[in-house]
Amino acid sequence: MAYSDTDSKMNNNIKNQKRENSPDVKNRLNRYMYVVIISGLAFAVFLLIAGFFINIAGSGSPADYKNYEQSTLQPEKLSIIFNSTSASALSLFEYAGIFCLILVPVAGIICAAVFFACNKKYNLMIIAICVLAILILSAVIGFMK
Amino acid sequence: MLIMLYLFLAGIFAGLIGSIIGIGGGILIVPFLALVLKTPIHLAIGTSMICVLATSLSASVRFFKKNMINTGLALVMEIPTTVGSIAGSITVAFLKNDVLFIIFGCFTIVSGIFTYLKNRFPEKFKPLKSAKTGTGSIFDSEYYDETSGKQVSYNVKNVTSGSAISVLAGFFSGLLGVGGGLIKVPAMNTIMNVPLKVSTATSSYMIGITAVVSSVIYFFNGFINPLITVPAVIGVLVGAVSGSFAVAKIKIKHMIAIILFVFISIGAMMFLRGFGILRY
Repeated sequence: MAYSDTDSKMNNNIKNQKRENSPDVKNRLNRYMYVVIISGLAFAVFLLIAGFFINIAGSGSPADYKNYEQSTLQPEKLSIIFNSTSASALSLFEYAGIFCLILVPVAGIICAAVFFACNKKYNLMIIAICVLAILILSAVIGFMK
Repeated sequence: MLIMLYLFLAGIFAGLIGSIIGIGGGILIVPFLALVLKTPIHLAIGTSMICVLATSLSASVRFFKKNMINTGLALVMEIPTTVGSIAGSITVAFLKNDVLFIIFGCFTIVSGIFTYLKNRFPEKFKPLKSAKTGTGSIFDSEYYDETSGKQVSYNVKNVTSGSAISVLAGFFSGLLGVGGGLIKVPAMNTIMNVPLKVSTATSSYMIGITAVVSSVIYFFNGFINPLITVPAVIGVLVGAVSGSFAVAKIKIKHMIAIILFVFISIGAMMFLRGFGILRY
């Protein structure tokens, strides 16, 4: 009887493992990733196009890039980046679009991490969190350098 | 206003060519900005990075829909790649313009020759025969191959070796504002036993994540100007979408000779510019 219970547990474990590694589970993750990325991309493109036309309607001109001054990496110096262009506030939508574009893959990784957690694939979840940590580290290096 | 139009058209060209021959397009954007529009090369690389990110995302959407991307494998390989990318992005701030021109020139020439050989002699770059399933690796997967109409299973091998090469791909990506797919795809295919189509799809997705790392660093360095970046990005996206439709109708063999000529020319110009022989 005891042997039967152990056997049954082993069978269940094998079934669970097969289910977790099955193509259906991976395809489901790909579907979620598809939705996240296409939504983020569409929103970013909307902001970029809106910003582009707002700039054309305003006085924005990329001619200033020749006198572009390299700003430092401190957060308060972000204003320098804005002031270094002639468009300033007009570029707000474009900056938002670029930021949104940068955030789309990050959202994808968060989605993957949550998915792996829900499906008890903890090793892959840890890897996803490690990638997220490195992305955050790069942002910190960007600020601090 | 005219410059915006040039940037938009350059983006379309880079996106179109990139999606036809399977590169990010950054390798074309940087020389255009640096040599034609005389943009400082650091700013050109920053702009290219955002273009590469946009191209990667648009390609990933298609590949995720077709279940071609191995997300787990992409995330594992992304750890060494991002470390390399951070190193490359930091290194760029310490290099002089001329040195960057020379490195970029060399990279472009090598990329051009490799792309030519890959398309001219595809039999030499055939994917390895997939091993049977059953090793139990968490990265093993399968995909539906549209050309053969079959479900193809594959086992992933040598993850450590593949990851080591990813550091190099990440470094060049961060340093030069290119995708790094030219290094990653052959490594995944030949060393890790990942089918070529899955390698290409997974690499496309990875390029986007790597680009995030570099983009953030470039942005806070002040190397990304939206007035230059946005028209180029919109152009790249339009070009990439058009290219994905055009790729079925264009004969790659005829085009690849032109691509080789373009790459060698751009590489040579960047190289000569780096040595001060060519001045604009």
